[in-house]
Amino acid sequence: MFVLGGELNASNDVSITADSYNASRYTNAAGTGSRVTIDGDTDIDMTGPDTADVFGVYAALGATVTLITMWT
Amino acid sequence: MDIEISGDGRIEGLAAEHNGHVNVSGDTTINVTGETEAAGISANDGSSVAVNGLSTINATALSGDASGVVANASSDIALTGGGSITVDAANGNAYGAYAYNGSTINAEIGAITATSTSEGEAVGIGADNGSDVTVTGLNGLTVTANGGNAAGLWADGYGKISVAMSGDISVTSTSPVEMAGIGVAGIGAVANSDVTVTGLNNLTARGEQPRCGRCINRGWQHRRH
Repeated sequence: MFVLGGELNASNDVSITADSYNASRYTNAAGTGSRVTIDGDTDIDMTGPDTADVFGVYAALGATVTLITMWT
Repeated sequence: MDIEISGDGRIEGLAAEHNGHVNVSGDTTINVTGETEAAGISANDGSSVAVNGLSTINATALSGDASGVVANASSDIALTGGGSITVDAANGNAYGAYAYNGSTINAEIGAITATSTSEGEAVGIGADNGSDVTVTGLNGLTVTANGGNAAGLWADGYGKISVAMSGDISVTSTSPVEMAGIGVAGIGAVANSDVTVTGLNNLTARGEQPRCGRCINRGWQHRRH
């Protein structure tokens, strides 16, 4: 997980796997006021080349991403 | 109702412009193929389109941009029925459902597949510049770009996306281009935007190394020579 000036919250069974090269980032919150919240059984799988960034979840410049599992 | 249109230029299945309004009820299938651009449903400039009973949208552009559902400039699109949207763009961008410039899309959609087959970006669901997109009933979202960047969900400039789903999001670019720091994003939000997803199972974001001609000819993944 990558946080730069933002806020990232993850709870419960978040599974993140990465078959990644240097540029790959899994979950990213960049910039003041940016937030990523992941709550629940979410699997994030990533593969990236070394020529461009690959993000599972990305929030920047005051943006917010929220992932919520629907519990059954 | 079956709508099937193909031809030169930009081809649209259902379109409303300049404060126009289109309302359709009943099982609706839209197949459009455009020589340059294609849009299954389009609302522009203060217009609205409502389809009560959408079954399928197939939008194919043979050499340009293709959109399944697109609302622009304070326009609104509302869909019920939980149908599927499939978008294919050759030499252009592929967008499943995208709202621009203060527009809204409120839709029951079962599945979205957006593919840019060459030289273009691909986005599943997008909201730009104060637009608002709400999708319910989504079982799966698949986005593939073969010559540009790719995003499953992308919100920019106070855009808002809300998705209630029960399946997976899969995003792949076979040749991501470094642009504003993003090559591939499963879910992305920038510039005071807001994205909320409920029920997501697996999120896969994959960027593949562009292959040179030598690798392609030999069937290799790209390697340094």
